[in-house]
Amino acid sequence: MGNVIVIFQRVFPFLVFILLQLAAFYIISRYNDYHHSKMISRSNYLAANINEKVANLTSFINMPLQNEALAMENAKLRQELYMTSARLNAKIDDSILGLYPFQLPNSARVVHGKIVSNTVSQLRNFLIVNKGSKDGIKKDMSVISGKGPVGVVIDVSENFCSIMSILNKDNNVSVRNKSTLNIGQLRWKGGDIMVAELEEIPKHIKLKKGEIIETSGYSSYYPAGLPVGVVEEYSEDSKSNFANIKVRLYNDFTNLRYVYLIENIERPEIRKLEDTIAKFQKNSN
Amino acid sequence: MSRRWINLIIIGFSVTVMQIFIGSGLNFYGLFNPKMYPVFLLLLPRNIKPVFAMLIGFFYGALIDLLCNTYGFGIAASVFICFIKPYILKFIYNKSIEEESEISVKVQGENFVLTYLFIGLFLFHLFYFFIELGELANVFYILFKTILSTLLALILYLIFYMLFFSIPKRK
Repeated sequence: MGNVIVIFQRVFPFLVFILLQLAAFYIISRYNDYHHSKMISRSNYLAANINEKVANLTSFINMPLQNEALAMENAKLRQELYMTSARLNAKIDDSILGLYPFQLPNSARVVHGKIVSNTVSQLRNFLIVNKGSKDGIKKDMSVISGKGPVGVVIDVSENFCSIMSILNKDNNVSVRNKSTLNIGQLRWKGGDIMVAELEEIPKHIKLKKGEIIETSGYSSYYPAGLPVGVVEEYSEDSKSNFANIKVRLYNDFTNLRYVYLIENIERPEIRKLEDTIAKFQKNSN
Repeated sequence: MSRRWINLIIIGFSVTVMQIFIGSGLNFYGLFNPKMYPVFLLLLPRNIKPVFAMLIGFFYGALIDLLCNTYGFGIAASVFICFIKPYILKFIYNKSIEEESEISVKVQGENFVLTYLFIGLFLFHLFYFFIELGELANVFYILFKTILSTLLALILYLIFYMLFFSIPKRK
């Protein structure tokens, strides 16, 4: 009997170690899942407040740079405005082909926000933006910046919202190449934050280096025609039917400060139809 | 409260702040991801019971996780480092706990503390990066990342230490 107690005393620290590790793994699996990320912004409230103070200071220091970027973006928007009004005057509706760059659906609503917290060093990166339910932000809204898609809103508190960045292993974006409009999936798999991988492009489509990749508008998250990046590397693999493509992103997440949140009011409707299709696919299997 | 506990608390607080505002912002092609906060756990006195040390690691890791958005990874790695700490010391240091319970530059000298922190931080980063990846793959990439991050974390800690503490002469 004495032996048993001695053995137990020896093993006890190890048992505690295993127990605490199990607790840690439970927390990891719970909080790093897309569907369970509701708690993120809630427990982040304190950190977000501190981060906002720091972000205020740094944004003041970086003001000249930001001003220049804003001026450039204004110019671009103005140009687009002229183009749109010209198109309206000429009464041309070519939205079926999606040939015009960056069209917002008629029912979209745009809100701008400032990033208060941003990570780039993890495998699953998140951002926090200083707009919340008070400003009409909802879950599943898409987030873009002047240079391309940024992510999707996954949770909203009163004053802040958390965003799953496209620099997240679990996030993917439906994209197409600009010349032939072939659809693929853009996915970031860690490593260099400027480079993501383009998947599901069949081998017979030869993409050249430097070809522009833009959003397809199929996922109902991002508007169609938003430039994402350029093809940096194209290679073929004999084992697979699809090409290996690396895309250099336009967006540099390390100096991102202002973003636009877009709500597509038609999205619930599209989502409903997608669900019906999924149900049919399930039944036929 | 004795002076060594005050020192330890200053170090703990400073590495936490450094981790939040410097460590989490550093990124170079995804290779550097230094974690300074395990230094606090590694410098805890040896005479704390292992189970109690692991509980400290658990709550300290939870605090860091809340502040850095790394849900659960910090806890797992902190508990791991508190568990493995006595074994590292047994491996590289032959004095018993009763003889010397404190770990500091004053007692063991800078060479020993540097070696000890390097081994501790290396194991911490290795565990952390594999947990973060979620599978046992890309071994060489992770090893490379671990070594670079460990060195950077050690250098950052040394800069902090040299700024705020004077290094004493050997006895």
